[in-house]
Amino acid sequence: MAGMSRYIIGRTIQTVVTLIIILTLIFIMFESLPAKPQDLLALNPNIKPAQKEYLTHLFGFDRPVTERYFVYMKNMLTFSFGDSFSSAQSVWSLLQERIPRTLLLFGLATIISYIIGIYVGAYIAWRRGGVADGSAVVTSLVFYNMPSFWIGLIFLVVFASELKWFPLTGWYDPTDKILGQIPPNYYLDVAWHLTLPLIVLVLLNLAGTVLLMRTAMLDVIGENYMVTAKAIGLPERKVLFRHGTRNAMLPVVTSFIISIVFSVGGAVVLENVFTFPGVGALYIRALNQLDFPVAEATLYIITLFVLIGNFIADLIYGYLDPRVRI
Amino acid sequence: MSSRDRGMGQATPRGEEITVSSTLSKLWQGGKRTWKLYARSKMGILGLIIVLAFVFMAVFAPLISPYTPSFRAPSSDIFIADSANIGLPLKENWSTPMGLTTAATGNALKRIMVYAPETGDTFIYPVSPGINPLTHESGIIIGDPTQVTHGLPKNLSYIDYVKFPTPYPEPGNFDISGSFFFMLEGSVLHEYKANLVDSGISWDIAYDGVSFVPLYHSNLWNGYVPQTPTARLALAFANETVVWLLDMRPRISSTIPIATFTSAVKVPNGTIISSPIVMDTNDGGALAVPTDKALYVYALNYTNVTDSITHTTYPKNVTIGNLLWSTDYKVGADDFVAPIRSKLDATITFPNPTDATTLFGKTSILLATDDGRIVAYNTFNGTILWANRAVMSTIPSYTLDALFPAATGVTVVGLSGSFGFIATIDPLYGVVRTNQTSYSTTEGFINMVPNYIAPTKNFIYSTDRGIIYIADERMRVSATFTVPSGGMETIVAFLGNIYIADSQTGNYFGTITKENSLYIETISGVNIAPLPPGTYPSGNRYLLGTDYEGHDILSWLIYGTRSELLVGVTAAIFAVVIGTIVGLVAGYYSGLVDDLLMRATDVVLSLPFIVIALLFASVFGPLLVNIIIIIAVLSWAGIARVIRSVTLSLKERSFVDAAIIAGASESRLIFRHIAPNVLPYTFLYMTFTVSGAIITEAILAFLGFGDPTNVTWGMMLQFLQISGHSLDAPWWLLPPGIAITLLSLSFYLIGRAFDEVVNPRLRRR
Repeated sequence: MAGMSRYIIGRTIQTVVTLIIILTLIFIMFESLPAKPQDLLALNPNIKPAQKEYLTHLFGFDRPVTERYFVYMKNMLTFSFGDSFSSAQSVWSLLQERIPRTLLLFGLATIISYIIGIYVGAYIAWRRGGVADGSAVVTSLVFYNMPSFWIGLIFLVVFASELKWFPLTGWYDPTDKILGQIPPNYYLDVAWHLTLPLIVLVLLNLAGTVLLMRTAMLDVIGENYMVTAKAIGLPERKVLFRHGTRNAMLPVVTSFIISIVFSVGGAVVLENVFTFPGVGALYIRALNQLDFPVAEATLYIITLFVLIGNFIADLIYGYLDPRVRI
Repeated sequence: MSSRDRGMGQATPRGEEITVSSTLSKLWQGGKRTWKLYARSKMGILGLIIVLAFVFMAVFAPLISPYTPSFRAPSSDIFIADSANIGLPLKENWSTPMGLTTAATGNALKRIMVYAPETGDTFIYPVSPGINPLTHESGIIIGDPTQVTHGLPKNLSYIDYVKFPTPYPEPGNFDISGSFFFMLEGSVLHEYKANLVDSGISWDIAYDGVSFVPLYHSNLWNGYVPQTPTARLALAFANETVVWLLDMRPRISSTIPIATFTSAVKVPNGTIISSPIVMDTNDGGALAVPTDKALYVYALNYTNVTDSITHTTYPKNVTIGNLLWSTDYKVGADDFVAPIRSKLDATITFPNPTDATTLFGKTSILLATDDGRIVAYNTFNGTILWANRAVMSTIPSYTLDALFPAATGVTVVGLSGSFGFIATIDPLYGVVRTNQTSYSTTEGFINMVPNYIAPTKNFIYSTDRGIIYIADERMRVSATFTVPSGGMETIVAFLGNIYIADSQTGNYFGTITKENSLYIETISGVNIAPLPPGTYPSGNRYLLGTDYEGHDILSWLIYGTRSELLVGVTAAIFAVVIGTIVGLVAGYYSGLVDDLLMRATDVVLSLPFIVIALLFASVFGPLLVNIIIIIAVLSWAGIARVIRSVTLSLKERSFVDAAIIAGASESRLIFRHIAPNVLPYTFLYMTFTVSGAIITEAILAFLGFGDPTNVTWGMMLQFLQISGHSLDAPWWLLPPGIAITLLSLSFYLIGRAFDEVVNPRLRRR
C-alpha cells in the first residue's frame, strides 16, 4: 500500500511523543499538589516527626525533582508502579483485577450499542423524514445531551430501588463466594448485576452512534452511485446495506475504536453511580486519598488505552482511506 | 453576479471600500440572511427559545424565584421537634435562662431559672415530659413558676451555677449535693446555696485594699476533669489591669467556706482585654492574661493538703505565681499583630497528653488578631507554633470575633460583610478544611459564643436576625429554628437534657422571646428533610420540595441558571478564542508553525477529557474559575483543527490572491479577510462547546470536584448523592438533571441548526 509504512512510522512517533508529554504533564501535576501524602499520614497524632521524616524519605520526596522525574519515567514505562499508599497492596494487583471488569462492561456496552446503532442509523436514514426518523433523532439528541450519571441514577431508582428487578450494585456480591469456590450460578449473578449499568451505557452510546450513522448514511445516500443502484432496480435492502452502509461505515468503524477507549473516561462517572469496582472508581478514590502511585498509574493506563486506541484507529483509517496516507 | 447572491461566507466585494456603515449594513444583511436560513430548522428555533428562557430565568432570578438561595426551610417544616412556650409573669427585661440540673436528679433538666437584673426578680419553672395541651401529643410541659422569695441582688453581672460532686451532701437541705451559685454584684462575690438562699458568705474583690468591679471573668477547672472528688473551682476576675483569683473546693462541711484563699496580680503593661485562661503545663497550671500589648502567662501554684476530717488529699490554696513568659504578639520580624477584643480565647490540648517531646500533647493557647489571623502559642515557653489566617475560599476578607475550643479543633466566629460565619480550624496547621465544609455562613451576625453540646456533638448558636442554628462538628448546619413571635430577646442557651418517658433524652435549649415568653425547644427531633413538594406548617410552599438542609429546590434551580450559563459560555468563549487563533495561525502560516501547533493540538485531543479534568480540579482546587479554565484548556483543540482546515481552504480562494495583489499586509489579510469568514465556524463550535461544558461541569460537580459555594445544578445532584437520598427524593433528583439536559440540548440544537446555515451541504436535499 502506498505510503503505508511511512504513515505507520509517523503515527508511531507521534504516539510515543504524546505519551512522553502526557506522562511529564502528569508528573508535574502531581508535584503541584499542595498536600503531600506524608502530610496526610502525619495527621495521625501518634506519628512522631522522626517517623514523618522516614515517610518523606520512603516516598522519595527528599530527593531533587529531576531525579524523581527520571525514576518516575522509568517506572511508568516499565509498568512498575510500586505500592499503594492507602491500601497495602501493590498498585498492579489493584489494577489487574479491575481492568478486566471495566473492559468487560464498557467493551460489551460499546459492541452492543454499535451493532444496534448501525442498523437503526442506516434504517432511519433511508426512511428520512418519517415518523421513525423524527422520533429516533429526537430521542438520540435527548440522551446524547443527558448527564450520564443522572440517567444512571434514574435507572437505579426505577429499576433497582422501586421495582427491585436488579440489584443496586454493579458487580457480583463477593460475599457469596465462600471458600474460594465459584458457586454454580456465578456467571448468571455477574450478568444480573451487570445488566443495569450495561443498559444505561448502551442507551447513551446508542444515542451518539445513531446520530453519527444517520449523518454518515445521509452523506452516502445522496451520492451518485446510490442513485444509480436504485435506478437500475436493485432491491432496496441490497442498495441500502451492500452499497450504502459499507461506505458509511468508514467514520463509524473508526469511531468505534475510539469510543471503546474513551469509554474508560466515562467509566469514571458511571462506576461511581453503580458502585462498580472498576478502574474509574479506583481513580476517583486515589485522587481523594492522594494515593499518588495508584492515581498516577490509573491515569497512565487510561491514557495509554486512549493513545493505543487512537493509534489503531489511525491505522485502520489509513488502511481504509488512502487519502490520509498522502 | 453580485456576491450577495452566493450565500454566506463570501468575500468582500471587489472594489468596494470598507467603511463602518458598509460593514454594519453588510452585517445586517448577513444577519437577516442567516436568520432566514436558520429559521428553516424547527429544532433550531426550539433550541433558541429554550436558551432564551433560561437566560431570562438567570437575569430575572430574584424576581421569579420564590426564595433566595440561602433560604432554608424553618424548623417547623423540617423538624418534628418538641417545643414549649410560657409567658413570663412580669414585663421586665430578663436575662438568658439557666437550666438547673443536679446530681440528685440524675443530671436531668428539671428546673429553669429566669432572672431580671433590674429588679432582681427570679422565677423558677419546672419542666417535665407530659402531654402538650394544644397538640395532645407527648412533649414537654413548662409548669407554673415559683418565685424566689426576696429575689436576688439587683444588677448581677455574673451568675453561675456550679456543681461539685461531693460525697458529703448536707443533711436537712434539699438539693445541696455540692451545688452552689456564685453571683457577682458590683465588686462583691456572693455564695448562694442551691435553693437560692444566701449562705452569707461573700468576698470583696479588691486589690491592695481597693475594690474594683470586674470586667471579665472565667471559671478555671483543675485538669479539666471536674467530676473527680478533688476537683476544685477557681474563679478569675479581671478588670483592666488586675487579675483576681478566687480558689474554691468542694464543700466538706457547711461551716467551712469554699474559698480558702485569694490572690491577685497586676499586669506590668497594657490593658487586659479579655478573660484570663487557665492552661495545663507540665508542672501544673498556668494562667494566661491577654492585654492589648502583650500576653502574660503566670504560674498557678497550689499546695496539697490532707483534710483532717476525710483524710483525702486535694490541692488547695491556688495562687497566681511568677510570670513564666510573655510575648508581645509579634509574628515574624516585621509583623505586628494586635489581638482582638475577643469574647473568649481558647486553649487546645492535643490528643496525646503523655507525649511531652513533640507538638502532640502540648497545650497551645490561641489568640485571634485584628487582621483575621489566629496565632497558636506554645504554653510552655510562648513560642509561636503557627500563625495563620483561617482561609475559606469564599470569604476573602473578614473580621474574627470569637474563638473557642471544639471537639475537632478550634472554632472561630466572625463577620464578613453582612453575613456571619462559623468555621472549624484544624489545630495542627490552622487551616480550614474547605473541602469538608468546615465552615458555614449565616445571615446576620453571630452574636453569641456557640455552645458545644457534647451529647449530640452539635453546636448551637444564634444570630442577630433571631435565627437559631444547629450545626454538626463540621459546621454543616443541620437545623434552623425561628423563634416564634419574630425574635429573641436574649441569646439562646443550652439548658440541659430532659429525660422523656422512654428514657430518650431531649437536649433542650431555651431563650426569652421578644414577646416576653420563655421558649424552649429540643434539637433532637426527627429531621424529615428533604421535603417533597407541597405546603408546610410554616405556610411556605415548596413547589419542587427541598433538599436535605431545607433549601428550596426551585429557587436553587433558578439561581443555578446563572452559574450554568456563566460556566458554559465563559469556558466556551475562552476555548473558541484560543482554538480560533491557533487554527488561523496554523492554517495561514503553514510549515513549522503549523506542524508545531498541530502537534500540540493532537496531544490535547488525545487526552481523555474527564480524567484529566479531574486531575486538574484536584490539583488546583474546586473553584468555579478553575473549572472554567480547565474546560477551556481541554476544549480548544477540536475547534483549532476545524478552523485550521477552513483557513487552509480559504487560503486557496481567489479573494485572498486579490487582496495580496492589492497590497494587503499579512495581519490585514488574516484579520480582515480570512477571520470574518472563519467566524461562522467559530460561533458554530462555540455552541457545541457550551453544550459540552455544561455537561462537563455537571460531571465534575457530581464527582465532588465542583465549587461547593457556588450552587450549580451539578452540585445539587452531588449534594443529593452525598446526603444519601438519591434513591428516595425524586423531586430533588429530576429537576436538576432535566435542566442540565434541556440547556445542553438547546445549545446543541442551535448548533445543529446553525451548522445547516454554515455548511450548505447539510441542508435538506
